[in-house]
Amino acid sequence: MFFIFNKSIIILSVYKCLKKKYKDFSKNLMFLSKNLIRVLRFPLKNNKPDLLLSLISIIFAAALQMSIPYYLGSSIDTALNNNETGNLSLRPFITIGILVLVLSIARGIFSFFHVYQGEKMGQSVAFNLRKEYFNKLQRLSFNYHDNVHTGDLITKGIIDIEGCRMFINTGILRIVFLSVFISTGAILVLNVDLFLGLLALSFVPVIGIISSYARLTLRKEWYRLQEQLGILTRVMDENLSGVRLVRSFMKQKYELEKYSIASQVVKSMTFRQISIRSFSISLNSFAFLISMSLVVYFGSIAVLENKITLGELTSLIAFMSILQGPVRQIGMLVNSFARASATSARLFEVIDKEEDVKNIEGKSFNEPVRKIKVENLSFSYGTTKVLKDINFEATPNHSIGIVGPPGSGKTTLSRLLPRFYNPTEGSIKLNDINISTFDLKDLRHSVNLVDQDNFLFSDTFFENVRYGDPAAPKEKVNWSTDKAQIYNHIDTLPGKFDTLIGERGVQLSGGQRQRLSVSRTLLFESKVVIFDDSTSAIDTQTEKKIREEMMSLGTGITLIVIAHRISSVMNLDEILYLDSGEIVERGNHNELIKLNGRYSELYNMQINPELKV
Amino acid sequence: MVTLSDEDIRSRSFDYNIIKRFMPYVSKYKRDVFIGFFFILLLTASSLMIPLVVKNLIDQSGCLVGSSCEDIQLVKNSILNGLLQFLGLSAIVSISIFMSDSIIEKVGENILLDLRKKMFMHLQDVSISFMDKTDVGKLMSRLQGDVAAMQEALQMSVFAIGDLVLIFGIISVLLVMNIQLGLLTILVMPLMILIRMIWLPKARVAFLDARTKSSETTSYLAENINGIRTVQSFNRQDFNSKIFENKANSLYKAQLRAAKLSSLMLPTVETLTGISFAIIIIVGASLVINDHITAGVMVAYMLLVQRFFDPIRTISMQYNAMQRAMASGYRIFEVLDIPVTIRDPQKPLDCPLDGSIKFDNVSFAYVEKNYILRDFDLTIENGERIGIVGPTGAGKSTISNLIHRFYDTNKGKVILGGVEIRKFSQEYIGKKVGMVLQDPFLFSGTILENIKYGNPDISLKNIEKSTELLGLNDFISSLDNGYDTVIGQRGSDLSMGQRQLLSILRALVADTQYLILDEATSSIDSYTEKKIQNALDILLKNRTSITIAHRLATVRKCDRIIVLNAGKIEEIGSHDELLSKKGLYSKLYGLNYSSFDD
Repeated sequence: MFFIFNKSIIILSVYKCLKKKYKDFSKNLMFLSKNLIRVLRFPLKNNKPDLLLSLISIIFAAALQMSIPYYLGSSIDTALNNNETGNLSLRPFITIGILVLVLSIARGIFSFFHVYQGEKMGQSVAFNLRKEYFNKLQRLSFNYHDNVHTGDLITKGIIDIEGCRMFINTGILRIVFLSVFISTGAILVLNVDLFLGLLALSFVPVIGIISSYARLTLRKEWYRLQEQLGILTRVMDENLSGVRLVRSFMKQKYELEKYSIASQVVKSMTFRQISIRSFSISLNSFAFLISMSLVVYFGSIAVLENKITLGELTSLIAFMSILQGPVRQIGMLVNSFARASATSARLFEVIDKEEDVKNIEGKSFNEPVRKIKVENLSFSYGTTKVLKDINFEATPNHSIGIVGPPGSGKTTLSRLLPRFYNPTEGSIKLNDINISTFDLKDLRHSVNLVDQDNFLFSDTFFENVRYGDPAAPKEKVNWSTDKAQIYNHIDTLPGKFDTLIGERGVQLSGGQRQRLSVSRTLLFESKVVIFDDSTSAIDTQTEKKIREEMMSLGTGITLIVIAHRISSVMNLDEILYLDSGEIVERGNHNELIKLNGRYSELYNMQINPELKV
Repeated sequence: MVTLSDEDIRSRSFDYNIIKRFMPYVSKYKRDVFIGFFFILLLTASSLMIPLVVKNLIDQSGCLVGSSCEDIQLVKNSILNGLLQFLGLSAIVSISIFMSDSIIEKVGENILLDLRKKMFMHLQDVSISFMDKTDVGKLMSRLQGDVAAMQEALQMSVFAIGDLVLIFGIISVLLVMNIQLGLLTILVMPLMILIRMIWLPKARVAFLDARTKSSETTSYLAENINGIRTVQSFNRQDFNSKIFENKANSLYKAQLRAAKLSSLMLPTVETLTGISFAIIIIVGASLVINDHITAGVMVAYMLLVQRFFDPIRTISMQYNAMQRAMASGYRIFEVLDIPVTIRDPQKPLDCPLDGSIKFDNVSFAYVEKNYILRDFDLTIENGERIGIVGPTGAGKSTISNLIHRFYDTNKGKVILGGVEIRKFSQEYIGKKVGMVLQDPFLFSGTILENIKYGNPDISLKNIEKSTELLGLNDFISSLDNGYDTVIGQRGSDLSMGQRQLLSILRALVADTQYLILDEATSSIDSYTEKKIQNALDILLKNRTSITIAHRLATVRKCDRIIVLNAGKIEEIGSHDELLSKKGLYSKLYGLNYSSFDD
């Protein structure tokens, strides 16, 4: 009784084990991941004729290549036959020779189409992915960009797209080619002799198993390697971007160590990958050569026993010999699959990212801004509440100044107005309509933020100024730079407005950069302009002049100014004092001074630094 | 000043100088390279043996058809012998594949890492002025793309040598087996070379074009990722997408042209193979019929010819990789050749410093002859708090750069604690002179890691003390995980002011004898700044400090304030002294300009 029980347990566990093995195995068989199928969908959608042409070419190229061993074999048979019979005529050989030549040429032409169309599809996949990726990145909100490393994004745009591109030609099409090739070959060799044919094909399942295991391991390795490469990039990028900081602490040794560690990890991962790859390639070759040697051996015996002709054996061997190259490539192919699974997953992760700031209705908005109203506005990053219950109203005749200590939420508030983030609670209304119902483009055209981080592109002054309106004429560029008090400086440069900014051009001081970005905003003709500490390096007089020029434009600009310098805000109609995300004081300059609170303290401190805190 | 050349330099396909400079990196792995070569040769030789074994087997088995068969058993034995040979060769081939592939690829990877490390190390020492002027993206592409191109070319050339050996091996075997058939078979070889020569110049242009387009597309992508906030502010998404699409499209077209040219080699090679096959079939058959060669020889010819053109094709593909590698090599060595202008002395001093700073008749120019400081003298006593104000370009930051020896003077001496600054190692200066920079750069990692950057051994207790003094504990405790909060990319989730506060804290934690604050509070409101000032009153005690600012209020409390204008000290003295002088300072102060800038 016990014995039976015991036995059944064993059987059960064996069954369970087998079931698991089968599951793993069936997972292995499904060699196309979801992401890879998505990559394949591009050519299915965009390159139907190319796909068709390349599939036809593959079939013909493979079939033609397979026919060549047959004729090689038959030439051997004929030669041996004629040798025996003493027939010295070369005519049959000339016929076969020319036939083989013609077949080779035809095969070459089909191979051309097979490879070229494959490459074309691959490039087209890269093109489409690039486009989608770029467009997505352009649309993802600040929230997303705040939390990713630009280096990672750039790496994805180069290396990961490359991985997907190569997958088409060196991955999937190669597999189709090999399958067609081997199956036509299979018909041929099985026709010659069943036993020898099976021997000749015996390496196929072995290689299949080796490869699918290798693919799974490599896929994991690729994913990890790609992540680790991202870290290494980050270490280098930060070291170079923060060079002054590194030098000021003289931490080069530490930085080198950081680099070495990241680099060492990459190295050991790469080495492991190389070993897996080389091992599977060599194992594949071994399996193949074993079955070839068996074919040669049993084939020779069969010839000896007159079961097959020497020519037939020759075509078997020639067939296998043709396969020798492709079999070595299987390792590469597996690698290409693994790499593409990893890289496509990384790419689609970005492409599928939901845009948290969306065009909901896309109502157009072109009217002048009479009023921008912030109602009960709250905002949180994750769990941290950054803004609490903010209320204010700004009109062309009622400009707002905002002051407050670091981290009080000023910048966040400035970024909420053009809807770079969505408010957590409350609303922002333009002419009494919630901004989330407007077309984003119209909204951001109406509400422009002059950011404290004024990014300039490595282009000419001219193009940088008219960044928001790339069709603006020269006069307009002159006008806006003049208003922003930077025209005279640009005009003294040797290349004037065509001077490049940045590495290959001129370097600008902080104040120049700020004035340039103000002129960029002026040219954009927004109705609500938010300055986020973006005139700090401009001297008070010049700042005043710019402000006056802006207000005298007569186009009804609503101003919201965030500043640390009291003189930047003291003449505005209402000043909000922000602390820890809350408005703690509000009113005009005189009222706030009278209030004798935080603002007046700040003011007094700026005029009279001797005051104690 | 040194600048790096543009990315699309057109280099020759073979530049001896670059090879020569590259060699030391390879010779470090001499042993592995030799072992790799050995296995490549073994692989080549054993692959060549296989057709010969097949030939023997065929000739053995064909004995019934021919006339040389005596004893079936004997024949069977020698066939079995052939099988064993074949199996032996299979094992050798497989092992050689594994060994050569893995060894050569690992050597390639090692060399890549060595090169990159060398560049990275070098970049730690090159002048700040070079780093200021050079785009980080450009350096990154050299550290990554160019180094990878070199590695690829290296691996390919090792395998190409194997291919070359294979070609010669095949030719010799073909000639040895039968000179007549051999010569006829390799007749197509010159033809192949001729076609290649016509093809190459065209291909070269196409490949180069594709590469240039690719780097243009990449840099456009990179710039738009970096400037994403501006892009969205100005609604440029659609417009930029169009520009990008155009760039991607011309890249696509350039790639297709290159692909077409390289695919054109396929029909060419196939035609030539076909010609060789035809020759073997016709000439070979006539030789077999006339008993000049055996059928096995003819089969061996067929097998060898099949393998003949592949190496030729790969070798000529080398050209593209070689060309790319040469351009990359040029760019890599350009980085390694940037001169290191500031070097440590042979025997650096590490004596304690008395806390003074002296500029003795210092002249300095970033660009030749354009002097920022001329015959500049300044003495700062131990424990003094010095403020420097002045318009942009007055030379404020230059003074701090010179104290830290980011640059060497053109004339005169900077004397730190009584000793000429060049007598110290730079590391020692780093330990003595702390700096808070205008750009509050933060590394990715936790807040704590960033604070400890200059002093990794400091205890949390001491950090908390400084945090408390600076009034930052509210800020730290408002974060999700306090000190252990991971900050986003370079602190992009913190405000500019918060980043400045952290960088002040970081400098204080480093606990240096000297401290330079260069526009350290420009993004902080006056109220908070005032609190910081009060904290500094305590923290800067017993330290010598220099505060550079455009806000007059920032330097108000300093023992002495220097008004710097065009590299000259216009006024110097305490706030009260300067006010009573009725000079520039008092004028600005009275006008409530409160700052100097622009």
